[in-house]
Amino acid sequence: MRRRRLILLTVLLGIDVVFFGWCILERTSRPAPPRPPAEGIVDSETARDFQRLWVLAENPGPADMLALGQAYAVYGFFPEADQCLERAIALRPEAAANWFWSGLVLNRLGQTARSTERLLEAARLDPDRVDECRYIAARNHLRDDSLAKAEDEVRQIGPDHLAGQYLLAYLMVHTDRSAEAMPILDRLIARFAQVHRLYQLRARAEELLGDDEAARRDRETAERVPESIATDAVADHLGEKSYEFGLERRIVAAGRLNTPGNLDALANELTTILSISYRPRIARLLASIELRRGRSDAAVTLLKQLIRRDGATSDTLIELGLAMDAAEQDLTQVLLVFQQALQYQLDPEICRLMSPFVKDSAANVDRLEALQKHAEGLQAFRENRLDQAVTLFEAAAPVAHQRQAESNFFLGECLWHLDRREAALEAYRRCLELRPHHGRAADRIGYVDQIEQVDRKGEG
Amino acid sequence: MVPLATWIAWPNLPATGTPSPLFDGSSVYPATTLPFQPQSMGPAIEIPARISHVQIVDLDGDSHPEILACDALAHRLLSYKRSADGEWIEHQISSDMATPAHATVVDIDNDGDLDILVAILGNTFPDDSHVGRVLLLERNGDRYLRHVLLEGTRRIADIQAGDLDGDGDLDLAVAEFGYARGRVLWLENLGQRRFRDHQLLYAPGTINVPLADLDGDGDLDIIANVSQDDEEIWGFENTGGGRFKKRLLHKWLNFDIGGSGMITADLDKDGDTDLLVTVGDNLEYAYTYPQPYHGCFWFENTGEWSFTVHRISTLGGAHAASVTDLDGDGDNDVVLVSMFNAWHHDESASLVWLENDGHQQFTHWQIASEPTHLVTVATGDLDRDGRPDIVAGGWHVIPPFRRLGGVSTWLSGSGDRK
Repeated sequence: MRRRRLILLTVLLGIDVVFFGWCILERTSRPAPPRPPAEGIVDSETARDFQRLWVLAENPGPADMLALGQAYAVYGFFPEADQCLERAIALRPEAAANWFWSGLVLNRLGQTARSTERLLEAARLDPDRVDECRYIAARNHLRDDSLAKAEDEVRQIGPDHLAGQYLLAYLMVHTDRSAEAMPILDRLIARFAQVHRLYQLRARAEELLGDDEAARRDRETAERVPESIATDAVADHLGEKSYEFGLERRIVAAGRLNTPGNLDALANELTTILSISYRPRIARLLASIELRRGRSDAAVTLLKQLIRRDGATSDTLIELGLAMDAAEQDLTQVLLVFQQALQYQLDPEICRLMSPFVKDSAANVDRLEALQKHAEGLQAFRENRLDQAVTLFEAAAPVAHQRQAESNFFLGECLWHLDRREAALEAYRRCLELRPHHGRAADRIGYVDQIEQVDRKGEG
Repeated sequence: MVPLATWIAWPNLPATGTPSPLFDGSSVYPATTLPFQPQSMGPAIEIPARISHVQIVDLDGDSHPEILACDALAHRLLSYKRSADGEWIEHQISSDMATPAHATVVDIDNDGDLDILVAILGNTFPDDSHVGRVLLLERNGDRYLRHVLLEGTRRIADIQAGDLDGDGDLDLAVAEFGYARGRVLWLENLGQRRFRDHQLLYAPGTINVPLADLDGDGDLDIIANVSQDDEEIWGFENTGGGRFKKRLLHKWLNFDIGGSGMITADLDKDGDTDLLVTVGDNLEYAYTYPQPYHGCFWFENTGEWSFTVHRISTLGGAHAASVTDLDGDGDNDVVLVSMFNAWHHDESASLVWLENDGHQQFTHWQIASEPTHLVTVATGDLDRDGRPDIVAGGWHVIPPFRRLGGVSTWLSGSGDRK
């Protein structure tokens, strides 16, 4: 009896050993998640995050392999991301996010056919993603020069997806079907009146249809409407996700410290981040924090280093001038910095900042104020606030400042678009008196003459 | 016991399996057998450089060519001159220029010395405001006097000079790249450094506006490489008296293609002007990867404003081209640089040459894999040994920030040449 039990126990133990041994072998035979050649390419914080995610993905829960793939993707390690996402799909084929991210990464790798396949599966699993997946799939088809497939894809995109509808119209305009595109563009413009690309595309269609006058009007409108269309969907997704990983995540966390009582802690954290990896936007933020902490010398040092490493821009120069002023540095030097900023970009803020420095001469004060009005007028013009722009240009146009001819030209433009044609012509003529070779003013006057001739012929 | 032990060990069991091979889309080619001596200009690079344009030109007329470079980070125009002992001496021609994109050397005032036209971008990064300028550096003895020929424009990417209206003076073609809006202009020379602007095309993203007599009728036509909302090549046929007829020469419906550069050259030496167009711009992405549609196209001029388009390279991230007989066999070869190859791989090509078999069939040879992120290239005989040398410029705004370079040269040696 005892022997039989022993045999039974031995058999059971044998089965256990064989079964669990097989399980262990199976388990150990899985490939490790890929490791990118990150050394020397990513900063230490991001490398640590990669390691943390890698450890999690080695024994993956449902989302671990996806997270590792996303982290690799947002830092540009696309082949490694591809491999992670393949495994994420194998582990959890019912998850739309796995398919979607695989589609994005394959798009970046130029593997368009596989990318499209993945995106369409993601769309099948998650109805909320359908339009976006079809849009990226259409772009994949265009990369393969498969126009018909691209158009088929965008035709299935809903009417609320602006980029998709724009792409449909774009394909029509660029394949000699402008007349078909016009109703789509008219509908989109009625709904999204502030999107300049719609006017630009409609102008192209109108030109192809022989309506040069309508094309001219739409191009002029495109100059005065500020919004665009986000057409880089893959870049946008990668950019948004980047804040969840590595140093970017730490930067987002640091941003939460940006409260009045936390400035010291925030400055310390930003200094640490800069020592890990130099990021221009962090240097700029730190300089502003140092100014708020009353450490203007430190801000000056940071901004000078920023200019050396990232180049001078008007924004950085304004900040440097303000920091130098706060640090009570030589006023002549501060003025030079503001003048340099003004040379880089005509900005009303710079004019305002410079005004205390030119108070010694009434003429200089007038010129600077006029330049400021001109700059504000340009901003108003670009945002289609024409009445405000007229007031500003009317103030700037009579003063002999460095952009006086342009003030008169843009005054003319505003008046023209407000249908005050005679006043507009006067402004264009004043522009030409100041700058006889101003092409756009001369063209506009020529255009008016042309219209008047046509009108006279009509009346005759 | 066994299940318990397995359960405890399970999370710590190592992964020892063999992973599937990683996808590799990098452009790598066999190493060239032509000998080149690489060299970096200026001080050692500590900060990622942004060299937007390089060219080889005899600026001072002493028959010793110099390198002229636009430094868009430090906002200056530099020249490098080779001393008798072979050292390169850096000279700053002009500074404080708000992101110079391109320099064109020409005697604009016909006074016998060479002036420089500088396309002022105004901002490296996307910007639709009026920050661009057309700048003239007028040579006056050993100095350059600065004049603004056109301002109140959006970002200017290129300026070319030629007599466009047949009145004997030099006019200008201007690429107002802008960002969301832009134009192609020609500027009519009215004398005394006054130029009247005329709009030829309203479209954002014009990179280059080379001039050439494309139709062989004896006057200069304008070609524009537009690469933003649309990816198109436009021709502006000079019909005389300052009038131009607009012609769409080619368009890609793949608006991800990333037009990056265009030059004119008689590649097949049949007596007319062809175009070489590189595609490979990826600047919309924070991290980039070469794409299969990147590379270089040869637009073979077949007369009557028609072109046959041949793909001659698939170099990932191709950004600029130069044409020269690099191997001395009598036909035109092509030199290409890449801005967006797979830089995580050390062997990815940044500089290649395409050997012409005499029938415009090309074999790729890799010259260099570093510096990375090259955006501009020129060829010419820098050391006056009768062989073409190469100069290129690096533009490092996208990671990885390693294997950096500013202005680099590859002087041709005297080894294996045909």
